[in-house]
Formats: sequence, structure tokens, C-alpha cells
Amino acid sequence: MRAYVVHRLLQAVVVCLGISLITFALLHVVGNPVLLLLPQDASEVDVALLRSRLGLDRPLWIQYAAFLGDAVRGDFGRSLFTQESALALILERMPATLELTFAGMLVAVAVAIPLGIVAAVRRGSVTDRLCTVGAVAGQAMPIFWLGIMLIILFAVKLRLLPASGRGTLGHLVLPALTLGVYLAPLTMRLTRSEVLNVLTQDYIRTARAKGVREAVLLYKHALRNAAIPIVTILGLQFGRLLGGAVVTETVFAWPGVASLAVKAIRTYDYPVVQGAVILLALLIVVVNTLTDVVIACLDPRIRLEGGRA
Amino acid sequence: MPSLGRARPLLAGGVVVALALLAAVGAPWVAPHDPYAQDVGARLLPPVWHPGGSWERPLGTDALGRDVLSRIVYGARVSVSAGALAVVLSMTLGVTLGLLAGYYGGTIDAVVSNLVNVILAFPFLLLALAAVAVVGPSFTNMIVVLGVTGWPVYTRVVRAETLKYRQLEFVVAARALGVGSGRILRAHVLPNLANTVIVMASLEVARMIILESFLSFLGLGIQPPTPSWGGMLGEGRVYVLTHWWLAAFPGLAIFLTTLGINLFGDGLRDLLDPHRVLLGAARTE
Repeated sequence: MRAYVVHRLLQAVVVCLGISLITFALLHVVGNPVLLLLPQDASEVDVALLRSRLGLDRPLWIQYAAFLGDAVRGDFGRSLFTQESALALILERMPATLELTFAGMLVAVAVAIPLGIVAAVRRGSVTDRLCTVGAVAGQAMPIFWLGIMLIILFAVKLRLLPASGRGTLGHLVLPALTLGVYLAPLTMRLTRSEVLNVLTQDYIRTARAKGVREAVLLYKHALRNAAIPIVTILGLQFGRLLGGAVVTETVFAWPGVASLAVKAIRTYDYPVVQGAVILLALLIVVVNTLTDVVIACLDPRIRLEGGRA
Repeated sequence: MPSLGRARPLLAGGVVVALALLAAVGAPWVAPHDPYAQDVGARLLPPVWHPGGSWERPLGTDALGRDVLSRIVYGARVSVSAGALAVVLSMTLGVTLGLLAGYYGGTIDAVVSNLVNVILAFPFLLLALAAVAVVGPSFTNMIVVLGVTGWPVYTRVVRAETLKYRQLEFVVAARALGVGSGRILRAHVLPNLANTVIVMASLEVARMIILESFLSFLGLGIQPPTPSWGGMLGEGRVYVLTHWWLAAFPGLAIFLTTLGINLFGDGLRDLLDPHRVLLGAARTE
């Protein structure tokens, strides 16, 4: 068990290093911060001056080491526009992003898991087919369009809910619904296939042959065993969820980290972009690692084999 | 052979895909008007079923008086070609790296696998957005960014499959006969992976189209005045209070196209390999 956790943590550290390296390379090797900062008609002297002031004339690996050292201490520099610390700006917006992702996941779980179970238990029924059709449609849905359509319907036509911003519970409804639609189809399909998988196992057949009632069979035997893969799926979908949050926050002007990052990307405020991308990626790594470790604690097959199939 | 009932999604999807291709290739003949022609006297006309709408411009006109239907038809060019090109690029990269990592193992495998983990840990969309912002918005840059960030999906699957095939008798036999590694991969391993890769690629086209539209929606993809579905949706969004259809139609075009592609891809999977359930879990987008 300990060996597995150590292995998993080491892997997470490697991934974090990789994330910092790619982000750094993207902004400093592919892009050129100096050209982004100065007006187009800046003289060569200005360019050289700014380069040395920002420390961009040093060898790349020294720049990367300095960047990494700062990042580890949580120093991503200051916003080029407001001069505020990038970390402070990002952390200030983190609760909004977490609130939205949590609400979105709640919507998806509340819809997808019961439907997935029903679809599996009544395989081939009309309900099952409707669920599949809904999942296929949901997976094809561009959620930025769905968000706008929800705004038109519920905010503009019916005037039931606010179109954008954060504050009351009403503000949360449309963004959470949009994010939920993004997450629900895959969750539903995977829940269905996990439950189906469990229902065809020998021990279920044996239990049924012994005369265990169907309800007991489902709740006590099947769902308990399907729970582990379902929780894993939810944990590992966290990355997708944050990706969906980028879209949802943009459409609903939700004041979270993702919309901050998108705004910073548009204004070339690279310290904020850098910080937001790294922190969101770190969050994904932490959640994924935790999911794996928790699952390993629950499931002896994984910690003994040393990895998920 | 699958029965007609099972092939229905494949057929429905195929029809939608064919229509999108037709619109993309035949845009000049299909579109009723010039998609760039502005008509200040006919700005923001409603669709035909609205009071004031006419068959002359079935889906109305935008803020510059351009015909919405014609722009949607031309927009298919951008979406279809962006989706296809991005997939060709990411598939080539992903399959090559997956084959190498799975076949040779060792250092190559360690590097590739860690890279896959790193890229999958990124919020894919932010990575793509940041990359486009750095290299500048253009059609080519967008394709390169989508292709270069989208390959790990293929690599994970191809690597696992290659690992499996590497130990099977026909590969071991070929190696014993002195067949070179390159030829083994090309002639013996790759053909066995083709079905899986084709199905993945067809589903990825839909994902790439959505990503392309979102980039264009934010103004980081296709630049105006070139008609693109995402760009039109972005422009139409400003008018949701008064002219909702400007945002509705381009989004509907995206939705129907990706739905068609997904049905086609799912149908293809059932047709090619009825036993396999491809799980695309844990994708970071």
C-alpha cells in the first residue's frame, strides 16, 4: 500500500514538473513577452532594456529555474495591468470556480447516476433507449451554445433567472445546468456499463439463484460493487469538469479562475495566464492523485497489483 | 452483418456528415447569396417564419445585412476542414508515439507516457487558448495547436494495444524471421489497430469541431469576415435580447454536425468491432 502511494505521489510530482516546463516553454520560448508588452514601434534599445529588466536576457534554463523557484513559493509575478499579485487575483476567484464545478457535478450526478442504473437494470427498454439517445445528443452539444440558448429562454424570454454574474442561488442555476449537461452523458454511459458489468457477474447469479430479492440484490450486491468504478470515473472527470468550467464561466460571465484566465489570455497578461493555468492543472493533479489513493484504500485488488487496469 | 436496426445510427450520422461535406465542398452552388455581400438596407432581417421574414433570406440577415443561411453554408468549410486537419495531425502524432512507446518500451515509453500524463492533466482548453494567444489567431495556427495538444488520446490506446500485440505469436515470428522493427510496426501491428484508430478519429473530429468553434467564438480562431459557425455565434451573442436567431442557427449547425459525426462514429464502432467498448473517460478538455 505504502509503495503504491509513494509511486503515485512521485508520478504526480513528475506531472507537476512537466506542467511547469510546458507552461514556461509556451510563454517564453514560443511566445515573446517583451514584444507583447511593448508598443509595435518600440526601438531596439527599449526592447533590450525591458528584456534585462525582466531578466529575459539570462540563459533559458536559469530563467526556468528562477520561474520554478518562484512558482513553488506561490509567486507567479504581478498582473501587468493591475500590478496585483497574480496568485492573490487567482485565489480570490477560486471559490467561485469551486462553487460552479461542485454545483455542476452535483447536477450531473443527480441526473446521470439514477438514469444509468435504471438504464442498466432495464436494459433494452424504452427508458434505456431514451437515455442512450439523450446521452448521444448531450455529448454532441456545444455547451457554449447551450448556455446562450438557456439565457435566451430563461433570462430573456421567461425572465425567470439572471443571465450572468454570481451572487444568489438563482445566478448559479443556469451555469450549473450547462456544466451538468456537459458532464452527465459520459457519467450516465459509464454508470450504465459498470452496473451492467456487475449484474452479469457470477455472484449475482448465485445470489439470485439463492432467492435473494431483486431489490436487495441491486442495492446490496450490485450497486456496492459498481460504486468504486463510478467514484473513480467522477474523480478522473474532474479535468473535463474544469474544461467545461472554462466555457461556462465565459458564457455566463461567472467571476471564476477560468474566466479570469480567458480575459488574461486576451490581454496578454502572461503572469496571470501562467499562474491560472498552473494552479488549475495542479488542482487536477491533486484530485486525480487523491482519487487513485482513496480508491486503492477501498479496493485491495488495486493496491496489491500496483495499478489500475 | 448487423441488422438494419443496428445500422440506423450509422446511416443517420452518415447522411448528416454527407450534408456537411456537401455544404463545405459545394458552398458556392448551395448558398443562395454571397456570404460577404453586405446590404445596409436589409440589416437584422428575421427568419422566414417570423413576421417580416421572406424566402429571399430564409434565416434572415446579420448586423451587416449579410445572408445568415449563406454564411452558415460557407461556415461548414471552416468547421469541416479544421476538424479533419486537426484530427489528421493529432492522429499521426498520437499513433506514431503510441507505436514507438508500446513497441520499444524503456526510455521512449517513460518519456512518452509521462508526457501523456502531463498533457492530460492540463485543462486542455486553457492550454489551447494560451497557445493560440501566444502564436496569434489564424486558421493554420489553430490547426497546429489543436493537433499538437490533442494527440494523447490516441497514444494511450495505441500504446496499450501495441504492448499486447508485441507479445503475440505472429509478431514474435516475424521478428524471429529477421523482419525489421519498422516493417513489423507498419505491416503487422498497425493494420490490427486500424479499426480502433478510425473509430477514435471519427469521434475526435466532432470534438475538434466544437473546440474550433469555441476558439472562434472567443475571437481566437477564425478571424472575421470569414464565415465560421463559432465566430457567427460570438457575433450573434451580442443580439440575444432582440435577435435571438443570430446565435441560435450557427450553434444549431455545430450541434447537428457533431451529433451526426458522433452517431456515425458510434455506428462505425458497432460495425467494426461489436465487442469493444471504447471508454474515453478522464479526458481533459
